[in-house]
Amino acid sequence: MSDLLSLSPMLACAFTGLLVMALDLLTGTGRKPFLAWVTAAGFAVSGALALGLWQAPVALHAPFLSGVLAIDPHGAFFTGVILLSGVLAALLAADYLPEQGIDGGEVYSLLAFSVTGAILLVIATDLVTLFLGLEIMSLALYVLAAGKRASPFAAEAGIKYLLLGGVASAFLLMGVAFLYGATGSLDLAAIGRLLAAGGPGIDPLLVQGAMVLLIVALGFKVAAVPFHFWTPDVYEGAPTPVTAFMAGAVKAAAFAVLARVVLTLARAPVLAGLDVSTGDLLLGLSVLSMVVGNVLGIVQDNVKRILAYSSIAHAGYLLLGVWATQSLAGAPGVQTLNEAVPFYLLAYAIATVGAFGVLALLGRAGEEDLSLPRIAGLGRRHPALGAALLVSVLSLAGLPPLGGFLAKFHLFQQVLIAAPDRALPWVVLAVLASVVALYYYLRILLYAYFREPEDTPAQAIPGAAGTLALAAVVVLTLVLGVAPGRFLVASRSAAQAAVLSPSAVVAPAPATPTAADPSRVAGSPPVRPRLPEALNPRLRPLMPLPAPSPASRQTLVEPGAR
Amino acid sequence: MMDVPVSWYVILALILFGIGTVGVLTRRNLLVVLMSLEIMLNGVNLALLAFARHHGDAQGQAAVFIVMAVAAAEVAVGLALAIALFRHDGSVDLDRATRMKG
Repeated sequence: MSDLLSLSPMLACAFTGLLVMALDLLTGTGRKPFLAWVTAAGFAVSGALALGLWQAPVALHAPFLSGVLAIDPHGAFFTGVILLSGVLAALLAADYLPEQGIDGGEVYSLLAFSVTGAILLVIATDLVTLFLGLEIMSLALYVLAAGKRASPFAAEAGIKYLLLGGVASAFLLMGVAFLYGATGSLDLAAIGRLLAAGGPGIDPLLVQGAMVLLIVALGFKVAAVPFHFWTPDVYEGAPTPVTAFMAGAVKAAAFAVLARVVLTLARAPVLAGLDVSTGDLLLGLSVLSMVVGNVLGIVQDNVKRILAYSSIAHAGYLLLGVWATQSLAGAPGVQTLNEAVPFYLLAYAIATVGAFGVLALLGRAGEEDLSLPRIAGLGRRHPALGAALLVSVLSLAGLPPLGGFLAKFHLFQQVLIAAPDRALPWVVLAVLASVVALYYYLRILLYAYFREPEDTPAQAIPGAAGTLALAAVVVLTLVLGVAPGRFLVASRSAAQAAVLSPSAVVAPAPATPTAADPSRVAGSPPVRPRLPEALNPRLRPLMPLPAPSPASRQTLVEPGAR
Repeated sequence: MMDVPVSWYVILALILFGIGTVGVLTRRNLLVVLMSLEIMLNGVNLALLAFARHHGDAQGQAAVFIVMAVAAAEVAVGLALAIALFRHDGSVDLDRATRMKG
């Protein structure tokens, strides 16, 4: 299979973006919703290609692609989640944007570029390519977040997102630079092998610093406490379909990368035996996100902000899943992603897109104040929208028989199985946090169903595209809750593929790596030997540079172990 | 030529990164904040270059070009957003851009 065909799902998205840009010029004013259908169709084609071509791991042949992109079930599953969120967001935007007086096709092409970046992000294994994917995804979103040019809230949302996203990118890059300094490679798989092998030339400080920097950077992107403070403002100020996309697709992509990076690096012996391990960091973020997200969610009055805090709390549950790694089948000693996490992200993404989607269809022009009293009586005034809100919010809350319940139950169960000796208190905390969350989820439904409408209740926008999207959300949420079999299997194979290059497992870490390591003595940076070239065939100097020291020529892993 | 150890470059890079971080967090003028963001990225670039030289490898240098290109794109978006903010507020003061709270 040629490389172009292998990469066609991502290329189809990029092409969709370009096509929509061109069609935008030919489409007259007031007929732009047509472009939403083109975008959604492009995403659907891309998704069909991904389903067809990415079922099994695909090898890329071009030398500049191997070791840069990895097409495996992990990437395929999250590509599916991203594309699904993208389709739904495009359809919702078709109804929402004309109502808000945004008559431009650029929203759809930016959405397509953002999806392209997100797909690149989840299939990248080269750290610079990963950064490029993150930036392609984010740059388009910064513009989309500020899409309502007439609204001062939108400009503020765009600025906040850009600044904090920029800081997160800088932290990520510093982490990448540290890893490059420690290992001399930018290929995540090769770095994972080198670190697992634990050669003498690897500076533990650099690796530990890189781990912290990367967790901070990706913590921003998944909106984990204490890196969450941009989330409610950006979610509130951005156009609601864009918010739906951010809460669904961006979180899924960020979690895919977080899991892959952390799990691939975590096998490094230099990370073992620290006072604060990587797992402790993830657990701390998880607990903070669950507690702070749910408690602050209670005191909100704007439905968009309630859902933003709900999204923070869900990041907490998911981080608990990332923390509770499970062992890789057929490779004892290698930890991979908990098999419940991808499924949870799928169920969460559908439900949150649905909830924001209902809000998008309530946004009549100029009256986008979505405080709780304005949705009062929604269930009677617009029964279909009310039903979609009911299903989505109950799925987020985790009530049976919806997808969110099964995902949460499965997640907590798998966390307990993966870490039976340590997980119990944290799972109990997560269950308690879910109970607290019920308060604000049910509060939304209380207003929607049991309160009398006030003088100026929010009116629905009629529209075929948005109705179709919400119908799809309801059906998918029910299917995930009632017949999840195939999705659970896909989730499991995605999780098993999360950790890169497990084949090169090397001897376990020395017992006291930190105390005895002379390179940790402050003020005396160790002379780091050059890496064996066999480790990385792409690692060849293009120009004469300082001569390498002759030390450490032993091969750490078998060549071509990738 | 006297050989400067790689750690010196990395320490300088970290100082630049720290200056940039403090700038982003404390300055209130959006343009200065964007500039601080650039300083952070330049710190990263210096670290990448130092490590590339240390390893005798060109990948790090190539990465620097990519980072520079992306940083330019980010600033382009940032300045466009600054104009959007200026149209609403009449200033690029971030303390004024706090309509949403909680």
